[in-house]
Amino acid sequence: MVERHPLLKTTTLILLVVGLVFALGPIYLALCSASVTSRQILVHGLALLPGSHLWENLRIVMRDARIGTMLFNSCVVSLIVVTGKLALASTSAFAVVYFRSRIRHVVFWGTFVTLLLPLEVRIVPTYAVASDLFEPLRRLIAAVTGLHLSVSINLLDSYAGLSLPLMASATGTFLFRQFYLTVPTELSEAARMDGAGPIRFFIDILLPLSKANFAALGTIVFLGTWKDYMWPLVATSRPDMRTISLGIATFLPTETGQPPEWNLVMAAALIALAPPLFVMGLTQRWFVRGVTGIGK
Amino acid sequence: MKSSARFHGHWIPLALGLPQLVLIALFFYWPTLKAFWWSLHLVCPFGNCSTFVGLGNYTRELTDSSFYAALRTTALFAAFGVSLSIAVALFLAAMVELHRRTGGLFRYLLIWPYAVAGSVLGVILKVAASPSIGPLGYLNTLWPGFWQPYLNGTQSMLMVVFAFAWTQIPFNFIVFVAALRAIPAEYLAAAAIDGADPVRRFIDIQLPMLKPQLFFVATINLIESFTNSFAIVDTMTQGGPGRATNILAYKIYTDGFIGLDLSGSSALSMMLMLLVFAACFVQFFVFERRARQEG
Amino acid sequence: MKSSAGARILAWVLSALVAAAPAATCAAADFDFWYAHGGIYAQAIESMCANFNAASLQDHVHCFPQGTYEQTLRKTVAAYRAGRQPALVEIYDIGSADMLLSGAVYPVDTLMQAMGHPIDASDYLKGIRRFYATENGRLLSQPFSASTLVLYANRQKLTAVGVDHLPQTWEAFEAAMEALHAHGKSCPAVSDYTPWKMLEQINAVQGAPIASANNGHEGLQARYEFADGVHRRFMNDVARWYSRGLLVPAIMTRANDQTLAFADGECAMSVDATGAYAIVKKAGLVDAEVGLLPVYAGTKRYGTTIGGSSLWVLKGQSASVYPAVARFLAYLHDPRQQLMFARRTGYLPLTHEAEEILTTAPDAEPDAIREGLASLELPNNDYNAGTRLGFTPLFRLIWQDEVQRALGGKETMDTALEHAQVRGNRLLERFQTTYIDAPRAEDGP
Repeated sequence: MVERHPLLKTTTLILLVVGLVFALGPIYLALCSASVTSRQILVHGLALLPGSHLWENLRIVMRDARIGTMLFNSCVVSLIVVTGKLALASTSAFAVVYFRSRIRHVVFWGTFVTLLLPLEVRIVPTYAVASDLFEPLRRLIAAVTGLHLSVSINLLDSYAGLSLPLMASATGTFLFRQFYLTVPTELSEAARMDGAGPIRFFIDILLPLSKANFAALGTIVFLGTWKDYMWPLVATSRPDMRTISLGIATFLPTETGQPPEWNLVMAAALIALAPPLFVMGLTQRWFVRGVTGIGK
Repeated sequence: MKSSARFHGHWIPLALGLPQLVLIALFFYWPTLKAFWWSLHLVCPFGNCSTFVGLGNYTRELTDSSFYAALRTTALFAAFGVSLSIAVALFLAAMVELHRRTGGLFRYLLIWPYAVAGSVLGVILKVAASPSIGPLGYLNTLWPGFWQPYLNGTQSMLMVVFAFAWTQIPFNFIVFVAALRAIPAEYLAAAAIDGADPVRRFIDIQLPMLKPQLFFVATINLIESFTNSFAIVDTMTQGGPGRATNILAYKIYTDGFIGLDLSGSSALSMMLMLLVFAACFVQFFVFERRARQEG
Repeated sequence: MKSSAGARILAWVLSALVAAAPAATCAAADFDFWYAHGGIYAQAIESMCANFNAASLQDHVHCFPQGTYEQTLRKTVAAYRAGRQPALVEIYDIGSADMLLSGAVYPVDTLMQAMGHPIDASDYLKGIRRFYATENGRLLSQPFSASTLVLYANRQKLTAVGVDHLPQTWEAFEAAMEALHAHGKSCPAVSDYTPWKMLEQINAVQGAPIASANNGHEGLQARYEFADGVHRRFMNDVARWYSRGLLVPAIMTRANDQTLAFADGECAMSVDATGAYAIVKKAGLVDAEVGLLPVYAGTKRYGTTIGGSSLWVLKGQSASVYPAVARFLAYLHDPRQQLMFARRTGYLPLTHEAEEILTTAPDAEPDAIREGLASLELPNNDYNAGTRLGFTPLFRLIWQDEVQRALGGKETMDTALEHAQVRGNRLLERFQTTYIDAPRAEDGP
């Protein structure tokens, strides 16, 4: 800070605190309401101060088998998408940056276009594709050979169906491309001079350099997948395949046919937001680096 | 990159790029093609009939008042949501920058909302906004019948805009903080010696230097307002009341999945794609220009 | 890196294959049944499946919940296009128009005839048979869950304000709400403002048309014609009740849901489905009195119509599956199963035989079902057999849009209904054009 003006400092500090109250307000509200009895909410409205029933409510919600399954599904899907996307992004960006072949343009532009049309926009046909993965192949075979096969794969209500479409995007490739472009070219020149092949160079030199990049992209992708709502909503209908971000809506009373227990709804919301908050707290440094990396 | 730094060969880059391309072909190109084909036909849901109608589906949507209503809602939502999230993030970033040494805690905590899923926020806010049990219900004891977000379109729009901004602010905040930190302190010190107060300094020095980030963040937020607003709308208002929050992405979903109207919803999809494409194009164009300026 | 990613993808693909495989690999008399319920309803269905499997030596039905009605129809469409459809699926009534024209259906009456379990359409209660039958009286699907609209009232609250008899007319209903309101009750009556209750049932009970061509039962040329007449009168009354705080939207209640708002005692009256009775009963908080849906004073009362779902047999299964499907359908048709389902869920029994057992059983039937059955037995005209119109799910959203706009003061109720009618007719026109060249389906597997 350039000058030291006590009044200025106090004013800005107060404004920051107000900002913080808004930023954490919803979480705080959930925490308070999750720590009282449902009776208290029905009589006095949502709690604005923490009560003493938090553990009890959390225990009741955790005992509900649904939430365990949902948490598990979210973890599985997020981890699959993170590993898949990191693997695909690091290798395809390598192909784009480190080769002379025209193929790199094909890979680059073929991937780049996906930035333009998010999954949410093409949700209806993507659903149709996921329900019948082999349709293009069947059509091709039918067109070429005239054979009408009856092979089909339905990815709905499966982990593959939940994760694969989320991997088909360009953000990761882009982030890695940006990063590879900042790696000194002397490294690959030296590697080529030593007669090392591209795979050697990739594994021995590039990957160790990319550790922070992996962490950054990994965090962003993990949070993005965990928070995703629309794709799980359409791609699953079996309750045991729901992810937590989707399943949280089922804790609203209409679907259960039970009198509403808002304290338990809020406790479920807390459980739903705990893992990503935890990941965020652990990896914030990398996460910030990733976001500013996208912004460059 | 110099060509001496690049490797030879076609097979290895192909093998490296292929898994990604196959995935994209399956889950991106094929669905997009399908949507385009559907948008040119009247198709029966079960696939037992399809009639080619050319641009008929487009002209029908373009003459339907509910399309324009959704477009207007989308525009309103985007305009308010994006400007609110940028303004608040910028403001907070500038405040934190004034407290460079002590701002660490705020920098740490203000990012947290990024980890909260739109649907979780939607559920929390839906309960919090409930006129019967939420804190805002107190407004009704002061002015009876004032707070009715599920009957009053303006209030429900305010609610989803607030929720959307809340989910976007952390991202913008991070970008702005990083950009502000990158501005050399000497610039600001020099201005301070010339007698410029923090507000002046912000307007004259910091804001102009943030232009690229502002533009970048605006584009990202805009695309998110077209697409990622879905979870908030679905958990909080389901497009209501009286389609007051029925954004285009939500209309595509309800028409296609609840109404089984593959043709109409695909035509809408293609049009929303054009919108997103335009937003991206502008960004790309500006980026290119910036890259050229930077040399 | 790359090979492990490839291996992982391969592994997922294989696991997806395995997950999808059981239907294809099991013995011939195994088949899938997709249903569309959760909670107590799903439990009842699961126990019927389990009992069938236990009693049957050669057949096995795999019963899978597929989420909501919308999700089930959507997944059926996707599965059919991919050639992986179940043998039997539960589809909600407003999906009937799509199913009938889908070319994907093996008509139930033909199936049952061919497999030696002929079902006489006249076994079914009149209101149910007419609701599902085609123009020429055939039943192409088997009615499954059926509910109709009745009036629920909190006896204690009504007595407390001096209302000793359930309102029979809307005028009396309004008077009762006013009495409750005057005594400081914050929620005299609750409603979720859905068209099934406010349009389809009200017009049915008044014998008024919703659409031409006999509410669409006579063909695709039908167009909406509800914006005048009794619906307009009723909705203007609703708007008045709403603005005076007499008829509270469910979303404004603590429970956030119509059935629950009545079940937990918050609201004193509720016009709700017979299927809601199970929830009211289970909550056990109010002394619920059930009566017929009110009508306007001085008008003739017709029967209400039903809402719910029916079971559709889909084409494309191997020939050995269909006899098993027929045996399962015959099993569900059995009065004992209907009664079990009715008792546990509040849905109505479907056939005369089941109705008779229920009404003469020593343990008295649930009130809601008795009233609902009585309501269905009232005189009929052309307009109380429901509607058979395309894009009905979308039309219901349109109706809600417009009515909410009217309640929010954005337009008058009359304009809102006219808009809904115009927008609805555009859907019907398109439905007609879409299916105009659809090939006629063959009547077989």
